Amino acid sequence: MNEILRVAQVAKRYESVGRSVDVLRDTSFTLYAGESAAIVGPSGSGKTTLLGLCAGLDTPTSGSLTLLGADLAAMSEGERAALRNRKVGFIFQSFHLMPSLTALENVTLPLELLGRGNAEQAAITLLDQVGLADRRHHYPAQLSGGEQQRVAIARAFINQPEILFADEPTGNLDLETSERITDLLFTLNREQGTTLLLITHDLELAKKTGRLFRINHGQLMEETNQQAQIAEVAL
Amino acid sequence: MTEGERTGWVHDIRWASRLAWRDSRGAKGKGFLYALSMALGIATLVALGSFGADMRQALAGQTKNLLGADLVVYSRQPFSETAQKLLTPLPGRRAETKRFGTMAHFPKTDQAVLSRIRAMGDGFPFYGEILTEPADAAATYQQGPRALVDAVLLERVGAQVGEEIRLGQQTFTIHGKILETPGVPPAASVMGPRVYISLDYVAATGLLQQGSRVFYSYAYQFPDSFDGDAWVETNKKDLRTERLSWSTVNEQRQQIGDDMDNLTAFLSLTALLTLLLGGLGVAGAVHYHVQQKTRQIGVLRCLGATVRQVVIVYMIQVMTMTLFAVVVGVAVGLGLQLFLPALIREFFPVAFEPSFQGYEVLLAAGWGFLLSFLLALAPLVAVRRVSPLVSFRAFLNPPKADWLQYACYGAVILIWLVFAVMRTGSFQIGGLFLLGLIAAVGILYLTARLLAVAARRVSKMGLPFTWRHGVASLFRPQNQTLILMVILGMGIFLIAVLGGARTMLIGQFSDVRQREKPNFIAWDIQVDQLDSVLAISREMGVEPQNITPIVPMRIEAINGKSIGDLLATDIPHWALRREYRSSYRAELGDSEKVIEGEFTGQVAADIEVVPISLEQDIAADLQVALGDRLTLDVMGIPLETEITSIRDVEWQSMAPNFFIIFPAGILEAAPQMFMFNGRTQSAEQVADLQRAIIKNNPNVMCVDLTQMVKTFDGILDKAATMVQFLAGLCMLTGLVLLGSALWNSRYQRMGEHALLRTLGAQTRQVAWITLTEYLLLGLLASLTGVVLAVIANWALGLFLFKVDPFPQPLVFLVPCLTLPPLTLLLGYLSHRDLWRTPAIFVLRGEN
Ligand SMILES: Nc1ncnc2c1ncn2[C@@H]1O[C@H](COP(=O)(O)OP(=O)(O)O)[C@@H](O)[C@H]1O
Ligand SMILES: [Mg+2]
Repeated sequence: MNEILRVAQVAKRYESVGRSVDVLRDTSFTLYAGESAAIVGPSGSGKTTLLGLCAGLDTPTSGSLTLLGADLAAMSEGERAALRNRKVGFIFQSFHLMPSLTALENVTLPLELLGRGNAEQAAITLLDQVGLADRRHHYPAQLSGGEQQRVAIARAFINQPEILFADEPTGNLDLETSERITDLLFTLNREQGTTLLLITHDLELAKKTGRLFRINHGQLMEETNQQAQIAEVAL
Repeated sequence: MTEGERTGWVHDIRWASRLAWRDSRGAKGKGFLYALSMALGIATLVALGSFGADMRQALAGQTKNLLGADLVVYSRQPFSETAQKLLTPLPGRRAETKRFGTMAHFPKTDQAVLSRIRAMGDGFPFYGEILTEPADAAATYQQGPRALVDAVLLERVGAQVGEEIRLGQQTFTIHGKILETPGVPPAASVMGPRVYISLDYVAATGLLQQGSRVFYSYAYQFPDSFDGDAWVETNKKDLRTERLSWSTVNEQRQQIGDDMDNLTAFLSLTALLTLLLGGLGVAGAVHYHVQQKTRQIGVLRCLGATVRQVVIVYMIQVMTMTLFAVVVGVAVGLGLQLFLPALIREFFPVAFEPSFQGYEVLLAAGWGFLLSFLLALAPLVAVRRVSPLVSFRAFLNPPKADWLQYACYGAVILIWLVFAVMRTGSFQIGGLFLLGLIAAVGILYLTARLLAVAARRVSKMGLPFTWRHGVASLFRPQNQTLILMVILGMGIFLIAVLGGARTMLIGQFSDVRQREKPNFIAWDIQVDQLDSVLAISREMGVEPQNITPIVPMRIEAINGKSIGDLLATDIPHWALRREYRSSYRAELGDSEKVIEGEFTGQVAADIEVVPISLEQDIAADLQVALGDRLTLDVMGIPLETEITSIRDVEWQSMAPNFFIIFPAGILEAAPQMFMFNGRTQSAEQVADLQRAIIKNNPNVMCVDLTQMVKTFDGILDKAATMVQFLAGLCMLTGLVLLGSALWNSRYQRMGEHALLRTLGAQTRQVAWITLTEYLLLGLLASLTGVVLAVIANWALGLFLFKVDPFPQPLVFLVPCLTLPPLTLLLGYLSHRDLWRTPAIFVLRGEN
């Protein structure tokens, strides 16, 4: 199977004045093409930190990360940006659409960064898939939270990413909208064969992924389905 | 805690100040920048107000010195017997003065310069002192053939006190250097340097021949009991009949005072406009601030804060910011005041030092505070309407229109109007000034809007990605792009119009600079001197052109109505009183053409009514038309004429042109003088030629136009500084506002940049988007200003200067090219660190 992301003995320590925090310790795991994985854990346990490291947005204190066959530590910021642009997608808890751009422009943004011409047609197709084709000329401020997140999903898939990172994509949404967004995410994930790494508090969402990681006090552990179910019952 | 305590004002204010202070954490820098943009406007108000008061005081202290006498009566010809008789009853001391132009010759350096001679009778000036070096020279120069010479002139010819100066046939000793004359602005000496001699030696110069232009005057010093103004009032009619004009101290002071009042009124209105525009920027910022705080305000209301309490919180913030602006503004204004006198010294007749003008400072600070506070308050009233419910809703409804907000903006306009009327002291002038400024801002604003729309359209039509985003982020809501375009555009406009007007003025003389066109003029050549002067000119390599006779004459009557009666009509006095230096020719020249009637070129010597031709503007001024009769006094002999043609004259051409042209055949016998012009190649050649001509013909006057245009340009240069000062102020306010708008959007920008980087944008792309934004702002602002400048210049050229409105497009290009690099630099400096924001930033959701 094709290796997409390998995390090997990664640690992250934040140094602040007079004090240092070990947010992640000796973390290792590997994701293969087409897999989907969820990371769960209490707030402040280091989930976002780990995601940032995997996506090459931040550098680890020690250990190595290989994303899509490339050693992130060996790359310049520019090279990492180019890699993200071509092969990585992102979804955020607070949507992060550009307020000065319309829905359509937000979706075409990654392709435009790449300098691709036929961005618009692809974007309209995707907006159609997320059910917002008729809202494409609206600005983010004119859209509800769920709609904004759907635009963000369309934007994440526009460059047909090999891996998608999602940080609590439903964290700011109500239950019903959450379900729609979750369905959308997995449908597109299946259709495009994208590898998915998502952070969530939502166990329903976590159950839909093939693999589950639990993080606690900077320690990452993979759980089998069985364990997960026991944990759920215990909760 | 009782109900009374909870709602008391004291408690509210104490609580609110604490919250206001805490709430301003991290935003103080922003507030400071906004305050600064208001402070600049207040500073200018303070500086200009104080400056105006300084000038008024300087004039008030120097009232009598301006004129040097209580009354001066002028005549363009020797005082007639009746005139003398009319003036006899005037009591007190009297001094006679004769003024005329001539070539002053400095034998030591062998140079000759056209100068204005003032031959002064004993005791003049009665008030004020001519400042000289050595200091006692002014008191003693009249005791012999001695002259006081303008410092500028001495410097120009390299002469020293103690050397000689020759005027006509008389040699004088340079007795002193004139440093300052009361009532004469320094700039005056650049255009025509002055030489003072005693009246007793005028005759010896031999320069006062028939036909030479001399201004005669009597200056009076009255005993305290005598009311000069009243005497003038009762004798006005007789004075006019005798073609006498006059100045009294009061008139003089009034005139200068009015001019200065208008100047300072215009300047302070412009300052207030800058303050207003800066204030609008601040209003935008406060609006945005409140918008961002809406949720927080909702929470406060949920927690039990009353509307009043919440309003007080933000009111305190705004009040603090405004007070800070006033304090800084006053301090900066007092500093600026020190530099202003130097800017107008050249054009102001009295020297003065800046002094602290408490009343003016208070007034300016008061106006400034009121205006700034209201402007900041207007968007704040929205706070009242924030409901506690917003904390439960995910989305905020846009606020509805609020009458209180409109009232605030209405009050701002009203204050501005009252200020304008007060400053100009008249509803009409104040209203006009205001209308002009509003029209200017209106055009600027309209242009800015159109450009904004155009930029967005164009950017949507397939501009490269980075450009498109540059445009989009330029028009983000809290950027205040339109206001910035208006303020910066106004600065550009002022500079461009100034430059345009200047090139138009200078452009009128552009012929002088062209090769082959005449640039040297000699005049006042007597008939018997003509041949020898022409010969000298040819010998020196300057071929005389346009040799033209000149016959001086005056208007005695129009259609039988005497000059005395005419002076009571609304025909301008200068047009009636002036000496018309006319000529006669058989054929019209290239630079004039008949637009009405028919030109008669030749008449018999015994014709009764001479057909003459008038230039169209003077005909309009005199309110005459074809067929009207003028009785002209040619050296004492009345001549009956009829206007048979009206001409359009190209004054800018170097050909000699005249208001009145006679046909050949009638004036040949009249006393006359000649002029000619020619083309010289260098300053040395001019100097040589002048020297050679003056040597045997001391009454002949000559001038080098190339040199004169240069001097003129130099004076314009100095006159321009006040406008440049205002333009600089606009630009500075604009840039400060730009800086603060940037600060306002900084957090959002940081988030966007991080997001773009997360999505895979290269630093270069992110940087390019920002730089595009700032470059565009500079370009659009320049364009905004230039559009108005083009309109203004077109109007100036067409209606005022009557020349091609755009002699040098470069004048518009240069200010346009200075702004964009400035904004670009500001964008670069302020974003450098933003481009390095780690991409992880966006994941933390802090946006
Ligand atoms: N820049 C930083 N400096 C210091 N500590 C940080 C920094 N960023 C995150 N942390 C700390 O790291 C820990 C993990 O944060 P994060 O990864 O955001 O947790 P999660 O996403 O699981 O809620 C938290 O305790 C947070 O305070
Ligand atoms: Mg997190």
